[in-house]
Amino acid sequence: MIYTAWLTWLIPLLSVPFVTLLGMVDKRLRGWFAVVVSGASLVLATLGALDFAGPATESLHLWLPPLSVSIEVQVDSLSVLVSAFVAFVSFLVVVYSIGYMQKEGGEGLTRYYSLILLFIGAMLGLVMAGNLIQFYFFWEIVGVCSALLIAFFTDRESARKAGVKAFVVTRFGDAALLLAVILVWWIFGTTSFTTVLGPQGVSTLGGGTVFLLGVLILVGAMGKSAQVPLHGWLPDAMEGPSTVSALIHAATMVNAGVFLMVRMLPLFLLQQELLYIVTFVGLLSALVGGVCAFGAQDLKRVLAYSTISQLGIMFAAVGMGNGVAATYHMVSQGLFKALAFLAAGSVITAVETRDMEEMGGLRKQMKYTFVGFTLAMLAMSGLPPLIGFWSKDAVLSLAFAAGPLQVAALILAFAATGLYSFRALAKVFFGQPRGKGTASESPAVMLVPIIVLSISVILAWGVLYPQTIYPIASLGLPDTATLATSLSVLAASLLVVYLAFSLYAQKTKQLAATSPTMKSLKGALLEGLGFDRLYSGIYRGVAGPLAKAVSSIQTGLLEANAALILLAVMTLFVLFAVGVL
Amino acid sequence: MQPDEAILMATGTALLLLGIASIAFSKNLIKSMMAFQVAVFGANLALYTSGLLAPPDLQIHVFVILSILVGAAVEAAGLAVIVTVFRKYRTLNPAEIRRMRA
Repeated sequence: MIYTAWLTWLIPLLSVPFVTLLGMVDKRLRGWFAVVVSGASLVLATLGALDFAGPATESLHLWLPPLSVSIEVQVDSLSVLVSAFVAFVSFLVVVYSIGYMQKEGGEGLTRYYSLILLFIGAMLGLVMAGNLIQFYFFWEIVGVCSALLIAFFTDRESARKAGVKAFVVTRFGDAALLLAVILVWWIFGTTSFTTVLGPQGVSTLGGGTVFLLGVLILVGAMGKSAQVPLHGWLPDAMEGPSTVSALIHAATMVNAGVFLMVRMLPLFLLQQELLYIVTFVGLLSALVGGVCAFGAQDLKRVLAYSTISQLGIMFAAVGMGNGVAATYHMVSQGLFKALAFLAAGSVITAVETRDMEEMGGLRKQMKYTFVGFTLAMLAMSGLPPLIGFWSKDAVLSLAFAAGPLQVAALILAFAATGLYSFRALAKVFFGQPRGKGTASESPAVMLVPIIVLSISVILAWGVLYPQTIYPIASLGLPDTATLATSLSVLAASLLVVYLAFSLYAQKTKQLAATSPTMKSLKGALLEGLGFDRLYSGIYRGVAGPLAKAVSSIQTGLLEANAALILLAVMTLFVLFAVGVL
Repeated sequence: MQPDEAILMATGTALLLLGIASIAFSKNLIKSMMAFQVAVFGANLALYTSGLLAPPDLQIHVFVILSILVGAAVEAAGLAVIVTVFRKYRTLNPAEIRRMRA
């Protein structure tokens, strides 16, 4: 019995109801209880990683006998590494929450901490899941929790709308994944990863089935990981508290899609066409996300688009056939993105706005936050020796082996990353203060997670590279070509940003205000290249009239409904008696 | 199908239909709840009878017991809702409780 693999996710899941009970005793207990639970989860996940002896699966109990689904965990290098990483980031976010949620008003904290624990437990359960049905179960809990947490500030209409949007958009992907799960169960009679991905599994299937399965799983992962064209919910998810954004972007929600892709990689490796599709989706998202991030005005939106872009890079790594590089970038992105969001949250509560136009010059008032955010941005744009550099170069060297198109797209995406990172940094922390009041540094309970994550962004490479659990070392060190490319991209983007900002006061602003092309470009970037408008157009054209037609049947009268049910049952009986059915 | 089982099955079906019909025509939410339970009992009876057919299947009987338990819970929750509704609207006639409509 591998206790750590079970308890890591069972403890947070089972502790959810106790948040309410403890809240009745003393309101302050709720937050610290969540800290203790997620800390226990972190300890267990770390112990599980340290004790890791080799791949193993364990099933505890037959859960759904007719479907032959058991509750089982799959312990392998992937699940062990990712669960330790998820538990680490989640723990820091929960600690940060104590200070942050107090500043945000401190209302509805029972709901907040219950959902956060459920969210973390479900994500850890998803990572540890040993079969697709169990995986899907947790996948849905993660989706529901993220939608509810995005809509946490229920008194704001925009937050409620963003929550609904996240729920609806990811539903498209979930439906595809559900079809894939049913298909797998139908073919193999089991959904256990060891069987499905083993020698008697997907490799015995015909080409068409493999392609269908691959596309369904890809669409599922695209919804969860906000890949173009299912990315629209992620920028709007900014309506939630910053801690929730940090969790969604770094640890829990969006990583689930990449995790699924890496888990199912043996399926994708069977067909080159599938891999090309995955690479295309990834690179497209990397570019779209990068371009939109450059136009966003809202600090958290910049970070959201950058997540789409980074996730695209991970998908591209999967598409180039290397799950190790994708996982490495997932961990690396998780660390620096959590840091970026926690620092951004600290800034936002200090200046009480998310608009970057009203920030500026904060580097003196908020020293620790400034250092944290700077490190996050440098890691994101790939400055050595921060963690982002190593993981991005691992993907870049894959691209060098794959082809010139992939290299070109990746370099563009990296350049965009550098540009928007430095732009955000400059706008928030440099220049003259444009805000109303004076900002002050956040309390220690918020700064400690920022400091820990800052240190981890610096040191993570040294810890992760030589570890023996997950074969990150097999990626090798960047060779001269990748090194030269990434450094020149970084230098070029730094130069562009320097030039843009030295000119910003006079020419750039003038140009943006007067030239019609610049104006329309700015507008297009601000609204994220018009994806939302496209979707609402489709909705108004197709789904809206359909919904109206259906809603006229919905009278809401109990008698009418019951009479209709009676009519339907009678009809069924008659059909049965006559022998039609 | 043996005669006994045919009688059981017919009774179950009749209860189900009668229950749904009573929901459709009742003017009192408590009566609707009772009718709902009648329908559920009918369904349970039919399900139980299907477990008697050859080969006998114990799993179905286990499921019937589960269903009865869940039915009890649903009844409790439903009655609680009805009490709240009565406190708010001072009536139990479903036709008069229209404020939920958009």
